[in-house]
Amino acid sequence: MKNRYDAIIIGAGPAGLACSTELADKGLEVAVLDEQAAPGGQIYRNISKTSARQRAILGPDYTAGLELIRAFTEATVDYLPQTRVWQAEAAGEVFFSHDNRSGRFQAPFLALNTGAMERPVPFPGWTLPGVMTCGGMSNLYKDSTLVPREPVVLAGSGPLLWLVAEHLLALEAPIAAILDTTPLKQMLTAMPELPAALRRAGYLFKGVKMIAAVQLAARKAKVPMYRQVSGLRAEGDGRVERVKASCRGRELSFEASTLLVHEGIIPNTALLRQVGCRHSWNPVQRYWHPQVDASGKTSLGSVYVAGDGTFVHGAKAAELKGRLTGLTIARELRRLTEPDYRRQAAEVQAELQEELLPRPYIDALYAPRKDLFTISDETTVCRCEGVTAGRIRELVEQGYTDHNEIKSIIRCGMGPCQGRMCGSAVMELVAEGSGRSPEETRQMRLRPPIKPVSLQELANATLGEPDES
Amino acid sequence: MNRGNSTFTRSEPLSGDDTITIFFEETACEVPAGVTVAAALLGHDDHHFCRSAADQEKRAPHCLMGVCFECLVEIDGVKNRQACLEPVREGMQVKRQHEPVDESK
Repeated sequence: MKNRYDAIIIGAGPAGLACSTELADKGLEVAVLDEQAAPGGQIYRNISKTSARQRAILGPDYTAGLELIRAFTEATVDYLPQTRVWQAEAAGEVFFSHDNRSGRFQAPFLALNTGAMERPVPFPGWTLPGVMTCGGMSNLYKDSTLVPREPVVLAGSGPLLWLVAEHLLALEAPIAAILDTTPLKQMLTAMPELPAALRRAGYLFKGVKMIAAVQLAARKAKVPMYRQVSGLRAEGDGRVERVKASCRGRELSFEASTLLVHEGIIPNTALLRQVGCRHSWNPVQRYWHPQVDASGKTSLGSVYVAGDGTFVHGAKAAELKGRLTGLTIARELRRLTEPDYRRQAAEVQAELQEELLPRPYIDALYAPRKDLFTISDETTVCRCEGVTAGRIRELVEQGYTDHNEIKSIIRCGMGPCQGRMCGSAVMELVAEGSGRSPEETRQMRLRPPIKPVSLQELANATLGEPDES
Repeated sequence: MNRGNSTFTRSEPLSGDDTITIFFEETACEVPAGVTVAAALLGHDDHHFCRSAADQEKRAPHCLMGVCFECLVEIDGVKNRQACLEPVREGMQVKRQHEPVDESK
């Protein structure tokens, strides 16, 4: 099997698809490794197989991906679906598991387009079966047309909450309540960012219109909606049976068997931390993101990141960022002259800048609210190892401010998810208890393999020197 | 297929040709072809995929995008498979994962 390429692209979401298509167009040999069975990432998940009705429900923002998939399918790339990357190295090596076998590819350039994930926020009962993320519900529908047939509560803050509500209302799912946790005052704090956003008024208007339409549809369907909700919790014996919350001093309780939560989207940096590129802290959206230049180049030089993995800007921006990274790698490999690069990159960059205009406003409006990580001592923070907020607070009080140390003492972040689910919360608990900004603390390290690989598989793997081919 | 344990339902009908048979805890289940193991099981028995390694609590899919590792199952004898990333195959043997997860460490 071929194992040396000009570039290895990780991820087949909008950024990975655009990046690899761009490189293939320039005659470069690329391998595309992706976890899913079909291209599209989370946003365009299963797009080549969804039915006409699914596409009608999911709307034009979903079907926009069809063109990207078509171009990718026509491009000459080695596409490996169902492939989990468990290690990447700045020297250009990628180790992966495919069909229970591990392998190694090598290339002078890597583009790690790992995309984004929903911000995990612990609350009482969040480990109960039946608590899912809004994005998870959306994925489930895209994969299988499944919808809840028993009462479902949606709770959280951000456009995705309303988008999933829109889909579930159209599908006539029994929604028990929609609980919006966005504080009203964030409308005010976001105001200074509004003028820039209004330069793309059409985009903002589309969002406002969507949310207004969902609220109208919800009222028609007699779905109760609450604003400025806090104190969310799920209760039940072995699964969700009730969802409780507070709304401006009033206690709410709903019978429900599914709770869909959403508290924003953050870059999925697991592989980026493992490869060791430098990260920055964003104080508005409160997440770490890799330091990249306009082309997606990280501190490691030959390692690039494109798409929402660099900073959450949405699907269209991810595609443009992927294109820019593709053009830049093509130039580095001398398949694009400097003048051609400048001209082509300038076009993409202009489109990207336009696309990003509303983001500072949206980021401020849907910033994680101040009390988002006010977690009670008994609440489980590390789902894998069952570590509570109280135990983490005890260590912070003793002076531990490094998640890596906290992990080695109480196993918080040591389970199968390797801190993907508890990382944000641990960082906030450290900030709360020590008064230090996350910027002053160390990020949690990830050790390879960052995806489960059995010892048997590792023993059988031929990971030696790559063959020339 | 017994959907008694699932709180999810298909919003579009499925024709008989589009189903395959997998085995969940040794019971044959007709499931839609081409879906993930997680989607197949959620349409069948949605509240128990595995138990957490530390305290043996029941867990089920949370993120459905490969991040949370709460949908770990044993597939054809191989443990630690993320059900949300694995497509179903005819005759596949799927079991709940109960023992602590050690292989990944």
